[in-house]
This record gives sequence, structure tokens and C-alpha cells, in this order.
Amino acid sequence: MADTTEHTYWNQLRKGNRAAFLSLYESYYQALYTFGCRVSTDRELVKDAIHELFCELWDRRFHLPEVTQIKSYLFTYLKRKLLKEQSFSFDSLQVTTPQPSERSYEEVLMDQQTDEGNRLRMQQLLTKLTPGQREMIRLRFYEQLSYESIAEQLQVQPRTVYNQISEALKTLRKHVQVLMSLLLFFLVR
Amino acid sequence: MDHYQAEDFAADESFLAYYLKSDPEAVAFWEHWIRTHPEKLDEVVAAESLLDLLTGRLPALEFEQEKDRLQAYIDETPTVQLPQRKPWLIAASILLVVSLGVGFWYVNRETRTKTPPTEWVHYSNPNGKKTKLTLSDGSTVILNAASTIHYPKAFVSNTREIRLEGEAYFSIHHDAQKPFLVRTGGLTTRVLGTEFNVSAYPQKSEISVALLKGKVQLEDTLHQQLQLLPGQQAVYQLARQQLRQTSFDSLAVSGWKDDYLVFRNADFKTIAEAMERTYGYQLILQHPTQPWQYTGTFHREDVRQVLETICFSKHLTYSIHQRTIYLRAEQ
Repeated sequence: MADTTEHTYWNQLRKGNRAAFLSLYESYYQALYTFGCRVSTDRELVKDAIHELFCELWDRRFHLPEVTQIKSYLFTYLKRKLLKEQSFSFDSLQVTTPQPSERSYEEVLMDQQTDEGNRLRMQQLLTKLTPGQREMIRLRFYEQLSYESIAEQLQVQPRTVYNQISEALKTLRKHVQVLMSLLLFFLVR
Repeated sequence: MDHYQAEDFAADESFLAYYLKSDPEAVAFWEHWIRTHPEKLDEVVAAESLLDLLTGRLPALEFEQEKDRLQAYIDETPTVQLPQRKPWLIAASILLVVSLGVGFWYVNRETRTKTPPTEWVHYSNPNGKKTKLTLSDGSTVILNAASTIHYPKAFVSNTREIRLEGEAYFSIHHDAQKPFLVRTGGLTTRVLGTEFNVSAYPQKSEISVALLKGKVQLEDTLHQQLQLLPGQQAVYQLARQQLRQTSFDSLAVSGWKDDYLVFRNADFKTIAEAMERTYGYQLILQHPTQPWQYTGTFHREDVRQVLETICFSKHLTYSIHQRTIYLRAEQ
């Protein structure tokens, strides 16, 4: 259903509409970013690749094809860009380009932390959760499944999922203060 | 929800939909709720940070920076670069003033009947953006953020007239045959060729014109006139229709065109307006303190560096939530 709006934006972009282009950017940015972080370990590289991707779309706006699957078009585009970057650095080391494996949730979260200290803190933070809680947190916030779908998938009651996640969040909140202050929302001094 | 802690917000289905912007209803609901519950802001911000951490998404502030970066890219080539005409170099220093004031579009009737309809260009800058425009006579205009200019594609009549809302810095090519008129609500600036800054933001109670080079003459609706020499500034009080002459500090007045942000004994309102124009962030002071008299100069610093400096001197802390910055007294 959301597809139709995005198709309208896409077609308006092909006529050079700036507002439609920015709407597409807002709709797909975060999905592209999380997807990119599964492919690449370097978040700055992912940000740059997405920026380039959209710059190229804008430059070629009058020559873009009609696309039925906008999301997969953009994902493929980004993946190709990221792989090109990686194979480039691999090639220069005379190593055969390996097919990059998808990164685990824990790895992705750790890669989000820009300095080494925070990477470690993130790792420790995740060990405060039970394996079950970690899995539910992943399904809820990373895969963005509803409580019902998670319950179905794990064969438990939705209430259990809710309680487990609630507990996990409480735990994280308690231990996250250190990280939090280093994150983007912070108080001065 | 009044008892909600950060973890409760984060666990809430509708709050997540608001955070992910996946449901417009949830977005509208929570935006309103957050605005009306400033006391819960710390918990909301903590909840959003938790979600930033767990969803693997790019945090909102960084996303805004990325978006600005893209917008800067697509705006790099303004659509209004017009071919330059050879400037006339006629030396003249006496300037005449004819002013109309209220009727923005009031062009000389004779000229209007003789010439074909003029094609107008309208150019607006959002907050945070400045644009350099070249007019058909070779004059340049640097248009400040949150400002709009209307000018003809070609100056075909006996005068070169433009209309401005907001602020701009003008470098006008000399042409004694065709005076240049800047119309702002209630005040007209007339020149032959010169450099000056006009500030006429609609939310302000005054219009100011500062002259850096050449000569300009001003006239209001009551035909009060004032001639300026370089280094002089005219301030026009809209309510009292009073035109008076002052001196000015050129960095404070026109430093914006070179990316300076200058405050001289500025009150909170002045700072908030400047921050919104320059960076596109709205400033809210949660517990107004005694009147502010803030002085400081910034050059190409990002919004957080500016905030930190101001907060340090005022003993405040700040938190950023989307495009709003909340300031409150340090505990």
C-alpha cells in the first residue's frame, strides 16, 4: 500500500521533482542504512555510499528507468556500490574477493560504535541479556516484527514476549548510561 | 503514559511506530504528546537513544546531517544564474529618491503601459541556506536564510526594482540612468550603485539598511527621507514609522554573508531567531531566567559548538530532540 505513494514519488523524480526526491530519501534512508551495515563493517562507508547513490539518482533523474520494485532496486544499487568498494581494497591486496557473509545482529550493533571502548561496552551490554532476550530484541527492533509475530515464531505467548522485552529494556537502560552519554543525545557538562 | 520510563516508551508498539515513522497517526500522536509533556523529555530522549542503539538505524541527528549534505548537493547549482550584462560605468554620486512604500508592485504607470509585462523570478531560501544571485545587470545579491527575493528576469523599465522579505546583501552595478530600488514593507531604498545590507524580516519590528560603499537614500510611506554615507545605518521602526540614523558594526550586520554568526548583547529571542535561520533548529528555553545579554562571535561552527558555548556562559544544559533544542538551567 505504501508502494503506490513511493511509485508516485519515483515517477515525479523522473520529471525532476525535488520534493518527491527528498520524500523518497526520507522513506528509504534508514532501511538502506541498516541493510548497508549488514553488508559492510564501516558505517562511515555506508553513509558515503548512500549519499553517492542519491546524488547519482538526482544527476540521472531524467534518465531513470521505470521501476516496479523501488526498494530492491535501491538495495541492489547500494550493495553493488559497497561490494565495489570492498573488492577494490581486497584486489589491491591480491586476495580473491570473498562473498561477504551477512553480519550478525551483535556485530552490527558493535559496528555502530565508533570507538573501540564503546564497542567493548556494547559487547558487555549484550551479555547482560539472556540468549532468549537477545533474540527477541533482535526480532523486535532489528527485524521490526510485531509482538504477535515474534510469539508465533518462538512458539510462546505474546505476553511472554512483551514481558521479556520489557525486562531486557530495563536491564539495558540501567547499563546503557555510559554509552548513552557518548551517543548523540547528551547533556552538556 | 505519565508514569512511563524510557524502557516503557521503547517497549510501546505505537511509540516504536512513531520512532520508525511507519505510522502517520502514531507520529502525530507522539509529537503532540511530547510537546505537551516537557517533563518527560529526558525519558523520551533516553528511549529514542535506546532505540537508536537496538534498531541499528542512523541516529536522528546524524540523519539530519546526511540529509543536509544531500540537499547541499542538489542545491549546488541554483536555477537562476542569468547572463551578465556589461555594467555601465557612469560616475555619479548624487542620488534621488522616489518612494512608494506600501504598494510593493507599484511600478511607474507610464513605464508599465509602454513595456511588455516583466517576467519575474521568485527565489526563496529555507532556514540554514544562503544563495548568491546574479541579476541581469550584473549586480549581485547574497540572499540570507529564511528570505525571499522577487526580481525581474531583465530590467526593462526605467528603474531596476526588486522586492525583498528578509535579509540580503547587495552589490549594485552603477547605472545613473536606471536607479535600483529595494522595496521592503514600508521602506524603499534607492541607489545608483553601491554595497549595502538590508534586513527586513517580517517577524521583526524594524527594518535596517546598512551602507558599506556608495550612497543610498531612503524614503518611507510618509515621505520621510534619509541619506546614508558609508558606515551609517538607517533603522526604521515600523510601528512608529520612525526613521533614524545610527552607526553600525559591520561584522554584526553583514558578517552573515561570510558565515559569521555574531551576537552583541543579544536577548534570548534574537539568539533563537538567528539559530533557527542559520541552522534550522528551534530553540526553547524551558525556564526563562533573567534577561539575556549575550555577546559572542562564531565562524563556521556547527550548531552543537555554538550551543555549548552559549550554554556554558549561561549555566544551561541542552538536549536536542529532532529539530528542537531544549535549554534548561544546569542542576
